[in-house]
Amino acid sequence: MSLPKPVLEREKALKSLSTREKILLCFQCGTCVGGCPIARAISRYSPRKILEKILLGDAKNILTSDLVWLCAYCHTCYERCPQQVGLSNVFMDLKNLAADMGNVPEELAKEALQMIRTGWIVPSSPVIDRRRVEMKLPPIPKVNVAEIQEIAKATGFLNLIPEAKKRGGGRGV
Amino acid sequence: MRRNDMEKREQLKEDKVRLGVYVCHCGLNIAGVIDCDKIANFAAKLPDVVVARDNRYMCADPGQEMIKKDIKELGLNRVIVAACSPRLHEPTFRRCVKEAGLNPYLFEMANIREHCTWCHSHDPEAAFEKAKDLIKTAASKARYLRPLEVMEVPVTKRALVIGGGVAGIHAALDLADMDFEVYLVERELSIGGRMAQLDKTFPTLDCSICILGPKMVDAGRHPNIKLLSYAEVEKVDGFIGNFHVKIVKKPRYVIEDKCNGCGECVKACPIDVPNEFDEGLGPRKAIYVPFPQAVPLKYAIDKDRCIECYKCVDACGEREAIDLSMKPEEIELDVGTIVVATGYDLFDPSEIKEYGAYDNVINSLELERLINAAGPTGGKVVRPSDSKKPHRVAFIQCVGSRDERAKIYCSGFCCMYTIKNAILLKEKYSDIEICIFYMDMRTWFKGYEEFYRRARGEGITFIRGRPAEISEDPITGNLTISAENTSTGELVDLEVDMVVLSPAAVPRIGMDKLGRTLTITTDPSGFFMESHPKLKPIDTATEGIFLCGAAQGPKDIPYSVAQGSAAAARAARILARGKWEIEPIVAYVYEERCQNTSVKCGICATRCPFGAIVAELNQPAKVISAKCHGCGTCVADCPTSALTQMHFTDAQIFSQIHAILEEEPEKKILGFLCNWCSYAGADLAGTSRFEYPPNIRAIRVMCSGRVDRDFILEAFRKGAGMVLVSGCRLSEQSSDCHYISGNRHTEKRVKALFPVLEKIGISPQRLRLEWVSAAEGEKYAQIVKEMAEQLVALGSEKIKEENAKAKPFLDRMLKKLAEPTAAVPSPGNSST
Repeated sequence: MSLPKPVLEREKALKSLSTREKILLCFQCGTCVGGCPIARAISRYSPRKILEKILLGDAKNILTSDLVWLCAYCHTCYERCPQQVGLSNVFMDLKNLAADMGNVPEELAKEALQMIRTGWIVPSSPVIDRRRVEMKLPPIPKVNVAEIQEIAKATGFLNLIPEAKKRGGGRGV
Repeated sequence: MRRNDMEKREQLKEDKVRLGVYVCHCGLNIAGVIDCDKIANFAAKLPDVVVARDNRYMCADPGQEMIKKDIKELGLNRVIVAACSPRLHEPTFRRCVKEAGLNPYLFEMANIREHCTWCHSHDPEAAFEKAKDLIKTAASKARYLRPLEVMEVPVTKRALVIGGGVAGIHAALDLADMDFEVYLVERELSIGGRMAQLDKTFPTLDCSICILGPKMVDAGRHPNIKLLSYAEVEKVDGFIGNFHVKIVKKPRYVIEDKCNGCGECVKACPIDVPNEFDEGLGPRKAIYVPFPQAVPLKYAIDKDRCIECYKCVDACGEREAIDLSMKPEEIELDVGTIVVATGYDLFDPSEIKEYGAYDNVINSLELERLINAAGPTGGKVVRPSDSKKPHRVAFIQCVGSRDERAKIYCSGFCCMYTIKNAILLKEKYSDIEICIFYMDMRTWFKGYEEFYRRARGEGITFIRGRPAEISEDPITGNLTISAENTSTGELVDLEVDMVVLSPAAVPRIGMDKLGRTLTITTDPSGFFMESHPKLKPIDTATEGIFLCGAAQGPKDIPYSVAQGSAAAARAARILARGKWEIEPIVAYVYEERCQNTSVKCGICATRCPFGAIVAELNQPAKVISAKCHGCGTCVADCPTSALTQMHFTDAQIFSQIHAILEEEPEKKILGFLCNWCSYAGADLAGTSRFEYPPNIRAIRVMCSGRVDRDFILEAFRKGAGMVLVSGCRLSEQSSDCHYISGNRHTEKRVKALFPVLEKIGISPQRLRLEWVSAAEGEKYAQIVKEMAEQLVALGSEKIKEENAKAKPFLDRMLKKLAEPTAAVPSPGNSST
């Protein structure tokens, strides 16, 4: 490893991150990993290592893998980080970057598509409706799907979902 | 003394100014760029100049002799040397003119090297013009210079040491050995401080109390030391050499002179309470000494716990040492210097929630008491939940240190004491398993790395990883530490019997109050701040008050001892002289102009971080010259111009502004630079030969806080193209200001000016506020470059137009300055 090149790469990779200055503060103590429920289940997942790789200019490999999508936003690391890097924000940033690069897990894209189509990530079904009546719960409020689609279009959210894009930018989804 | 000064000034008014100007070649440093002979000819034609000469090296003996000869033969009463930075040779030439019988404050320097030839060598013509301006400016100020006398204050040859820990004890002993009387004030019942609580010291494993005990006894017995234990500093007035201190001695309910420390009373007392000295791990009685080696060995009654059964009184018998009606006692002292050695506290680790408040999680000081043979368990290490010996012990480092949520700094000594405690545990119980969780091992002092090596050699496990949490098994009381071993990248769930936390060392309780009492400041971490981090690490911003030990920041024993002795030496430097000289560049009040006599003003007093100005109701503000550091912040913010700063008077600075802006003002950048950082930064730009546009003209003030709003407005009224105000570095968290807070007031004042400028039609980019440190020569050059570019972009015509439009407004705003020499009063005001 020669230093000058990775440093340059690091600059480039980090430039588009709004949490860049915070990431630079990470001193690799491992508090995030020690309390991470995901790291406990999936040994190749380590927030600390993800940050170290970014610091060393290896952001591209991280952003094209599934690693950034594993964070479940429990915010444990966010609370405990002694450098207050704000890992939840960092992962939000990384997920956005990954999505920009076209790296969105299939399942997630499906969920998003579902939401754009129906207004719900988990849409209602006759079974659910029947249960609600049995449990004397009010019916699920109607969602203005057109409005959601408008928002999705205006914010560019649609462009992030390959499936939706294929179908012509939200029309008829 | 003040009256004499004023009289002298009055006399001088009658004299005519006779100015001598001396242009230095500095070899080729100056003469290689500009023609010094021509410059001298120019200077000779300036008003009031009697003689102007040039010389290869003005600072060398022949140059100095030339000045002395002229003073005597030509009757010069002002001298200007155009050469290097005044930060370099002002003291040299002040001495020179003084030797020739001239008051040293009648000397002025024009910096034509660092600020001119060194940074404009590629444009000799512009450099020549700038040098002319700089000399003209110096001559202009020189006309308003007045003789000032160095002030002398008497020094009381006694010292006060606050805090009787290892640092304070050493400061007191050294001063006492130098034959100065010392009052050693200790808040607790006994001196000894934190070191008295420790078991062994690293890396030599000396018994702590065995090496400290004799020093405590020395301090208690020294004929020059008056020990005031169980006492606190209540109030401090006065200034260097003349501090008046009020101390309150809390009642012990035991008469110190009568108590012989026999301890019969303790046997009789029926009350058991946790002993603070043992961190609450062992008991003491309601009548007690905190530990057997206490100095003074005088008992005290804890009145909150005492049930007044009088059994102790009976036990004391004929000695009659117990007096339950004792009241707090006020003691007033006069001392010349004060040494502050108030030490540190431990951070409360319960603030780090994920480490839990479990029985078997203890802190390092608790372990010190447990492992200590004189401690509550007789040196047996047991865990609190079941008093059983732990077999597996984990240490966690940086609890509250290096943590944005608690204390951002490294506490420094925790790595070493943890290694020490681990080695001691291993020595005591060879079968014990020890694991240390750390982020970085910091073993930076003599013999420390060797000690770390020894710990590794003894089989102590080190895991690099900061634990995320501790959980407790409620049945066994055992603890599980969850962490990542960052070296292997694996998760660790380690079950242990006991956990020892290493909490951050934090400022002692009540330090901020003491700081206010002493008018010394604390840094962002809450510890007392030194005057200069490199060159005055013992001094505080208040002259005559010194710091040592952990009061200034976490420190181990040898460092604290060294600082104790250093503080004694710094204090003795003042005490030994018997009198102290103070630079007379202080603030001065024109009582007749001060509006505090009729309305409640007192703004000046709020600006002074040294408590040097007192504004009592219906009285004109009063400057305590010996306390004044001469920043001029109060002067700049006085709404009625009732204050001025000696040697940096309004008249002097206005004369500089006028001289600079006499010709082609719209093409010039006028800079106000503080002496300590920005002017030094500009010097560095010169020394580093950074080229920048030559149209900047700098006026040196001691602090950017001196830059009056009127100076800036006057500059624009006189047609300045741009104005730069620059001080020491400032951020929300910290200020590098050499006068603690001057630049904060500068910031407020200058920022408030932008809307005013906008209103009268002056483009906001024509005023710039910057913070440039003495190390930022490049930044200074860059700022000037940017401003010069903006000046060109705006164009002279536009600037002239803006100025013409603004002038009527500015004339009105500055009406009182219409005739500055007459209307702006100054003790140094000249008749010219």
